[in-house]
Amino acid sequence: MKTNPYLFAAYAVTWIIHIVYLGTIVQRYARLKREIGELKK
Amino acid sequence: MKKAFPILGILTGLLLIYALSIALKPVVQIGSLTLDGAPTEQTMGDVQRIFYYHVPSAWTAFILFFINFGASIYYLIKRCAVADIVALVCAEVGVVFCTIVLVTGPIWARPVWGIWWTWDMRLTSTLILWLIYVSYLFLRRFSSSGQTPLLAAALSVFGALCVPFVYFSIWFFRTQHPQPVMGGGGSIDPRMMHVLLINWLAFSCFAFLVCWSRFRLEKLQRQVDEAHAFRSLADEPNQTSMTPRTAR
Repeated sequence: MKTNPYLFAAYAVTWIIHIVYLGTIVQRYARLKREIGELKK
Repeated sequence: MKKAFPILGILTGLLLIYALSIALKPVVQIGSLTLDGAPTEQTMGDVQRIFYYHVPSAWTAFILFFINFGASIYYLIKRCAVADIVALVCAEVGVVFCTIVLVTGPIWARPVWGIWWTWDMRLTSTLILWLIYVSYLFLRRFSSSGQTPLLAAALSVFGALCVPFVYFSIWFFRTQHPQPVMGGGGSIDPRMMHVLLINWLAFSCFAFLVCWSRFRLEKLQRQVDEAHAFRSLADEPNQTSMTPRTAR
């Protein structure tokens, strides 16, 4: 199967969007953990 | 419960890899095992394989918007905080999937129709649906009023009304978009349908896991906000006792 640039772009963009969104969730979770640590002090 | 999340995560990951491999190849070889993948479409060729990401993403987004609608109605009736969190989480993850639909659609349209975008009823109504839920998320993010969940729930009812309109728009209007493969006039090869359903299952499991982790995060966020509020309330009497009382 030849690599179709449009097909590759669509699949890549899908996973980039998911990974970026998951990244924001991880970032928010890390910030919240820090906040909890500060609250406990 | 703590072990369920990583186990489900691994299973979903494997399912996503399997779904991707059968979407990309007509025949998949895993060791000595030969599996049927999606056949190459005659007129469009390999670019038609975008279908296996585009359509399941749309279905997943629609389901999430319907759950958001149900949770919003429940919130409007019972004022249940959990329903409010479920509504928010489903809208957020639904917007992510709807974004994928709006991005993969034009990437597919360019080689097939020769254009990236047309103001066709299906495409335009999907864009409007996306804008409604983005405005819902903006409302949740930037409004600090106590009425925000109530306003957001009311807005999501309008958003959910748009979902069937988007789905059936190709029945009611002349559009360039193909007919739906389920409940419509479109027909599909059974092998293609199998790959489509596997991909939908994989995306649904993935969406469920993302919603689950986002739900836990939102719950934790609200607990922290509550702790901040209690702390500031506890600090308040000390502050007021420091201010001198004015004479009559």
